[in-house]
Amino acid sequence: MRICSATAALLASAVLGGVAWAPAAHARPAQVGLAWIPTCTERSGITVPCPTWRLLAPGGGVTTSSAVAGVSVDRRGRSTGEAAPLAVSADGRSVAHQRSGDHRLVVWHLPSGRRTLLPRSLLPKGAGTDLVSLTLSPAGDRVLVDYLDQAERVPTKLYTLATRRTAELRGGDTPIGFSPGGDRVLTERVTADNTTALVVHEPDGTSVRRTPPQVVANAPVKALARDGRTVAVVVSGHPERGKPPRLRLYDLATGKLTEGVDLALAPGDTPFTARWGEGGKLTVAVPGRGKGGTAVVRVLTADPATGAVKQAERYTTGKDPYFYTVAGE
Amino acid sequence: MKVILLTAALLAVPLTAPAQAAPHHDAVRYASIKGCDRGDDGRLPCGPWRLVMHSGEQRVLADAQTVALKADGKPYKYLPAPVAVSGDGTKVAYFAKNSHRLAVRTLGGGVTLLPAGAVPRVPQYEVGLVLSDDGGRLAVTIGTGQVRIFDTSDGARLGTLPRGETLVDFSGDGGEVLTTVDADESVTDVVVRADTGELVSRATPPQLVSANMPLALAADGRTAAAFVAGKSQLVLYDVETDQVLGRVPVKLPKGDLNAIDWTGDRQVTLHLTTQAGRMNVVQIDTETGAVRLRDRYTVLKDSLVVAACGG
Repeated sequence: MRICSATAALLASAVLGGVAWAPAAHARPAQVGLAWIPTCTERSGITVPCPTWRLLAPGGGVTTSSAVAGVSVDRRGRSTGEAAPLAVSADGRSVAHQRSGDHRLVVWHLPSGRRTLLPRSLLPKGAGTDLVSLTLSPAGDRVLVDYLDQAERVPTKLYTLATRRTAELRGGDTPIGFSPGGDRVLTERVTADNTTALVVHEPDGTSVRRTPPQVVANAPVKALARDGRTVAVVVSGHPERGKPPRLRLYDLATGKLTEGVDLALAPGDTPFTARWGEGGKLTVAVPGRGKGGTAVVRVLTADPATGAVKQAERYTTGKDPYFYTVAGE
Repeated sequence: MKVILLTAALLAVPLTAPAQAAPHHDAVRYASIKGCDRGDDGRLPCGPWRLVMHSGEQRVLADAQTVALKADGKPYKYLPAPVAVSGDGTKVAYFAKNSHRLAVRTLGGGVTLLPAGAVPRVPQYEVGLVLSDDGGRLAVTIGTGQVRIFDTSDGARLGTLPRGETLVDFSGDGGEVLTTVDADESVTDVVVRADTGELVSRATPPQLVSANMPLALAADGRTAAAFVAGKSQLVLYDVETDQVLGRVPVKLPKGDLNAIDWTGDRQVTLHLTTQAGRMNVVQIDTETGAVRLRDRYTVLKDSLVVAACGG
């Protein structure tokens, strides 16, 4: 069922205006740039995520969907008081989420409105959604389901929606992200040496692995390029020393590391996510605090050659967000 | 019994030991202070520092401060005063009870007192003491700040390390020190300095080294060794050229790494400790990987804190 844009706008303003909101189960944005969930306080005083995610569109507009669950559940189906897993594809047109009611994981394709159910086999038998981390490929055609068990024995599942095929990555491999084409996956793993290795998983099931230098291992954000071997490395800024965040390129095939560039950002503005975009540029997201306890997230295009940045989008959450995630994170 | 082990350098036995006359004074294996149960206060340091010798004999370090003093000079009953033993077990560093000055005693010999102003007025529990293998040098760490290096023969201050550098240990012959520092771009650098504090070399080592600290520096002031527990290997690294020189697989007795030290041109010694208070001291030939159990002992059961030899 299509919602005409006028109705969606009214719905959005009703939410923003703080009016008591009647669930509109069929609200559907065209594109999502950022999803956030507000903080609610239980009678006991504990802070928890509110039941509903807010989906912000690039260029403005917010929608909510009662089908997108806000709180994860344990294996007995009880609310955990933690945010339910959710991921938005880089193109902003797919949302992987926990479905309200039956707690099943689905991928919601916004243009068609269709929700594809993910097979139960992607999670350990009987598991809840409380230890689940989801990552969507840039076009939303594949999803990584990482189950965060302490022992790191449960393999991460890589599911392709069109073929319904599941591939497995080693349990100890932590997904970092997809290549821009969605065909390769970059992960990291801690080895017996106590070092952190980077691994690129190829579509044919093979993988290439290398242990990078400290600066790459310690970098908070990494992104695999289309060539499947170049990794963009975002190095943290150091506010006390006045050093801005930096961008370096690491070649996983040869181990070569560029000197890199300082990003044209303040020392405290280290991006929390990055992905390769068009024309050899990177899209990064920088967190910030807005007025009245809101969060402001700037999505910027960064040039790896010069460090110059240009704002592409800017999102402001409501007051006191419990959690948020950007498209392509 | 919970025993806290202070960092240890190592009891070195010269490879020519059988040919030499055995030293007529015994060498120290470790220093120990007793823990007494004091009800609600828990286990507190009590009694004198005991030096447990190789022979098994126990001597009392009568003139050493036992309970740490606060900056105002009043005792802080919960923590013992610092103590260090040289790698060869012949010298002990401590705060002298009467004068509150730092002292270095040579077993069977005399005591060198450091000048009264050698250490700024800080709580004694914020002071760390490290002796070089032969006890000729003493490094004093004050809080998380400065490290000062002294000649223990006369108490003269030789040098000061820059703030921000954390002391790891002396080189095998005490001529240099190895430190680490949080460098730019979120990495850890290793630094070699002369005992005067002068910079010798600095490198950002590969993860294999930075993830397996502590690092032991050889007498040549450039070759370093780390123990990779997950693979039971020694990794050898040249600080000057930032090159991994090689990996040496070793077969070791039980225990977690308590200390690693170069004790010869091609010899690294590890102190390994178990939960039950057992200490295994092993010598490793860095070329062949051959392991020799050099010493083994169980610390005194009533120990609260132990400073194993060299620590």
